[in-house]
Amino acid sequence: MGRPPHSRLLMDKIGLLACLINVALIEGHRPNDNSGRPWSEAEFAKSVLNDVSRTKDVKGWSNRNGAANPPNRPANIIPLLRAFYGISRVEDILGFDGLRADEMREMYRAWRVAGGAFDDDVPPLPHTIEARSFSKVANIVDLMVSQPTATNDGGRRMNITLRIHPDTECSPISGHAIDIGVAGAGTRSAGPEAEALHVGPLLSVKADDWQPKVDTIFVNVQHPNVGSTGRSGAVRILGPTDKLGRIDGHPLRDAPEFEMEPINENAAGAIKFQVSIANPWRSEHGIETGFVLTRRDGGPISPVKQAVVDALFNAAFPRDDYGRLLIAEKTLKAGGVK
Amino acid sequence: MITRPDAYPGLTLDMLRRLIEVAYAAPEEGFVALVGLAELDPRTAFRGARLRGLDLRGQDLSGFDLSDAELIDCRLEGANLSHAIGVTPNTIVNSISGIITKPLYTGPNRASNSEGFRHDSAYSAHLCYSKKGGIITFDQYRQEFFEKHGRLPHRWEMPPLGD
Repeated sequence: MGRPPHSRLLMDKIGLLACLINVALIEGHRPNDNSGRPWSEAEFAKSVLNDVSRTKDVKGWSNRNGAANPPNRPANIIPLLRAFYGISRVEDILGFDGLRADEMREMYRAWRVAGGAFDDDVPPLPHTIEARSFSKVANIVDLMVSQPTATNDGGRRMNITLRIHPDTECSPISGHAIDIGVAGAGTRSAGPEAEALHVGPLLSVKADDWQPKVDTIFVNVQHPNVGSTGRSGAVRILGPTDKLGRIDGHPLRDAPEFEMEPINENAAGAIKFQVSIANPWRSEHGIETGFVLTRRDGGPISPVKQAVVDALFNAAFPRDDYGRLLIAEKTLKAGGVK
Repeated sequence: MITRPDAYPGLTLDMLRRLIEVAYAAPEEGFVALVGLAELDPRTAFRGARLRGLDLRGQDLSGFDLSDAELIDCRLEGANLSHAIGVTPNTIVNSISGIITKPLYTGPNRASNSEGFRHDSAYSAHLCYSKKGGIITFDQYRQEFFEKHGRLPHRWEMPPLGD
């Protein structure tokens, strides 16, 4: 992290941002609308704050409060970008090729710089990484499934390797770093309470033509790191956990080889494995947590910060059929006679 | 036209930056400022959210869409929800029952707390009680009752719901 900008310099940068906002208001920047009809302050306040009476905020952002009143940097630029250009996600900024794309990116950059970021701090957006894995940024979940082999009774046998570890080596940014892990409940030996907490990711298997055999962890076999759930074809991964309650290890180590049996005569369809975690906003009692985010300096994460962090995670990951966040997925071709 | 790289981008480098900015934000930064740091759209990011135990005192949630959201055991004194979208009695009813006794009636914050909900016209129709032809909020009635009787009113001592 560099030296904080001088306040005068920062004011100049806020002035530049205000200038850009003012121009966008006057030129009537609107998504998919090239008419150039200027925004009225009330109309813009309604669009951003859902309140026509908040024209003072708009004046502050666009430096229309007179020379005696310096402009204000909006706390959040996204609602303004939405009103001007139809952008509602940071991830869409780089890929945006609509009307006035350059002006939009310039406004976003000016907002970040006015907040104290250096020009070159603006990351290349979006830095897209395979959507269903943490690879590259945080190495937390590794789901490996071997190619299925046919058994004598027409089933399919495969090895599942699941490794879940908190990533304590995420790159620091501006001198600050966080660790990200996945919450677990400990092993079953910790007692039935652990399972009752409903904490831990689900490992599920889905296939149209196949179902898990009876002697697998998905049906009858007990394993210290696996808890049952009411969901068909799914088990809960409980541990092993570290002292912060994060899963840290090979949950399925020593589990028996996994086998699927056909449920129809010409079974040949694909088999999909998924690891999903709870969407914290869907838990009934606030005890079901998915990600565990900690500051590397040990500082606290307040409930308000946690709520915003949850919102970021919720926006990042796709959902499974039950609204859980998908963090790893693997689809295999099982082969067959179809 | 928006070219979406993916509806759900996963944990990107930029996402990591925003997570770090939120995690290391100053403790006094409120919810609205943190949402700004996270560069989340208040119009979409909190729909359907269950927000539990948050300190939202004095926060201006104008422009936030809280449709199907629940504010559970949150502290809402002085929060402005009047121009939040989709706020219904179900959104905050749990918070009301959980927060108001201590902070509202004792301690140095009382004066500012007594102004709580003064802007909350959006849900005043549901939460306010009529008194002498006017409308006051649930909290204001309890405040006045407390000042007059030195105790909180029982449920049966509350006036009927305003309209």
